[in-house]
Amino acid sequence: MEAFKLNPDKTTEEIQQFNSNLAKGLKNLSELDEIESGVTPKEAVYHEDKLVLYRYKSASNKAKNSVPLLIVYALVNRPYMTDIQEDRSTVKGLLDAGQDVYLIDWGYPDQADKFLDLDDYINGYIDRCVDVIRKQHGQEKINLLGICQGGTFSLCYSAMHPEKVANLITMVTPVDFKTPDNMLSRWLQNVDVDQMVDALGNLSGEFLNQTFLSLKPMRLTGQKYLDMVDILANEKQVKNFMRMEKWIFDSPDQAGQAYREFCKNFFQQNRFIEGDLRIGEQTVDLKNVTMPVLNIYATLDHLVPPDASKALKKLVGTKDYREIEFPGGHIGIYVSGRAQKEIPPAIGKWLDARP
Amino acid sequence: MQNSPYSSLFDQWQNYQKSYMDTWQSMTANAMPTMQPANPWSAAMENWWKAASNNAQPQTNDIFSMLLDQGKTFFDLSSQLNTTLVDAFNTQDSADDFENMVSKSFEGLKDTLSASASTAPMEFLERMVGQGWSSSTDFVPKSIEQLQSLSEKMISMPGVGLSREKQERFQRLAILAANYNKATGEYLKAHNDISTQSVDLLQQRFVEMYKRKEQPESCRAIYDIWVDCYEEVYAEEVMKPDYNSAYGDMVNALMALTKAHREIQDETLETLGMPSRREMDTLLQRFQQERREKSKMRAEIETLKAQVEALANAKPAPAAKAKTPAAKTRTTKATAAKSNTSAAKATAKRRTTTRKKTTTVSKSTSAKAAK
Repeated sequence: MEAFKLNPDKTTEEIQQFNSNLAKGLKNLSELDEIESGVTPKEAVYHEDKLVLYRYKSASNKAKNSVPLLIVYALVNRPYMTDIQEDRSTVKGLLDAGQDVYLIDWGYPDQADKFLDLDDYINGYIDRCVDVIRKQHGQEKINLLGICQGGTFSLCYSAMHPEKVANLITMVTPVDFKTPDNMLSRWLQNVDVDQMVDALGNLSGEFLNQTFLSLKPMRLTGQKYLDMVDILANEKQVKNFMRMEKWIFDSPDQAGQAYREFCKNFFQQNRFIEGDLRIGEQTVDLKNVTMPVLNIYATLDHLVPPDASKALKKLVGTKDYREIEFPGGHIGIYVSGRAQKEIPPAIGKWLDARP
Repeated sequence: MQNSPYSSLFDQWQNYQKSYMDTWQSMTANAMPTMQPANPWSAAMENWWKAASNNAQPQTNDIFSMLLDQGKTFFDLSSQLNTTLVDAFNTQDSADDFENMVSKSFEGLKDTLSASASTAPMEFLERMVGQGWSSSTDFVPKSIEQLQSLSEKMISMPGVGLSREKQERFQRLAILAANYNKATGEYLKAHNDISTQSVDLLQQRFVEMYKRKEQPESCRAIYDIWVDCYEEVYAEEVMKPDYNSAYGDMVNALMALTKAHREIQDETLETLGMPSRREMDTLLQRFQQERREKSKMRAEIETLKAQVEALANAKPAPAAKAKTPAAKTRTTKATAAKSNTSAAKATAKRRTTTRKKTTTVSKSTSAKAAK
């Protein structure tokens, strides 16, 4: 019977290569420029509290869709993921696809913001941003693109203000929070969220980071850094890695009341599915989402499993509903090369067909 | 060992390790203590970093330390597994013997992993709770004996006198600390179980590979197999009700303790005449409510302004053409009456709007005065 044998020559070579990469990496890391957050030029068109509404400037001469597109990102993590580097920018892709792109930057909440609730975010901030854009363009309705939790917000908003939304796109958006493979949701079921928020006020970004890392602890806290050693000798790859690393750990705190309502209404009570969802004084019924909907999800998404997004189909009132399935992960859908080639053009084409 | 046909290769591997370490030691004989390290590869990396870090920029030290920690873990594991497999292979006469030897050798690895079962989740949670304040878990006794001693002294005494409530708060804190200790124990036990199961799976994978006559190609391949095994077990175990219950209990116990701790901190601050979190929360809540009402009013005003503007811009309907002089007069009178009515209505509406504005402003002013 054949023996197990680690080839000593190969192993020695492996270790020497490891050390060599470390040595080169020391040089590359030391000479790294500051990591920029967001690459596409933009201008701030509206400020409110810590929120800034940006309009992106297109380098393309392509005629723009007359209906502007507002990107609503999640409160968790920073929105520059959509514009993380020159060749990995969903925003740039949308601009090249002829869309007039706006984005809400939520900023960094502090304890003074702890009583902001979902009504303040959705019927307050989002609604006022929508009104600013409508007024600026002289449009009754605008297009809305919600990402992850931002997609959940966008669904609520579209259900409560259908008269202001022309077309709705949701990307990796959780709708059914209790699918069997939803790890985050399972963990939250036995947590007393009220007590947590009463004790802490805002939920720190670090706590959320730890929770997300806990989904795949060995890969995300161990193996990933050994993989990093393999690319340390390549300056460009190192910079890309550090850019992602910056984004992953650049997590704002979550306003306590909004966090409380989101966890209870969605993760614990799954109100899109179970019904009786109220945001402020209004009831949210997804049957009122009567505008065209494009629902994009990632097949390898461990944060928002595909079934969590696909549940939207049966809930909306629109007859113009379409899905795009992307073979990638929760982040890959924005940053992978394939995603850049497929997703923004598909969105642009879908929007242009629905003026 | 001498009887195995492959013993020369393993001897070579051990010799390579030794000669590498000897080379390092001879190069740095004066700078380093001459002690035999547990794993020459890990020690080599450590020594390299000690020499290289002088030239590194301070901001890279953290990331390099992290990379080196991972590298040392990786090489420690490779070395340990290699030793395990060598021992197993050198004594085996059949696949069953190999499996038994691997199993015995892995017991040591399991003990290592269980002992070092990650306390990282706890450290992160406790750091998050601390956030620059003294951590709630400073109150947590670190041993059962400490806890028992604390319990006996504090919890058994009833509160009396002026400080009765304060005493009862501290007693409650002690009970919450005990609950947290218990919940943490259960949670860490769950993670220990995951580590142990992952080693079982790793062992199983190696035996399967051996039976399929497959070889791990490199140290990295062995590490990757271990990570796969751990993640596979982890993904399954953390979805089970027992784990979810342990996780929920631990978080809830920590939050209850934190909340009680902060209540005591608030009282202390208030006693010192300083603003407390509790007072700030009251203010912030009222302030946010005011902002909401203001926003609502602003929206109503905008709506009303738009309506008024629309009315002001509305043109009166053109009068119908009269056929006879009498009809003309009647038509003229009717048109005049109509415009008078419209004007009267507009005036009445303006008056109503003004009254509403005045009433709203007065209400707001009185409400502020009352506060």
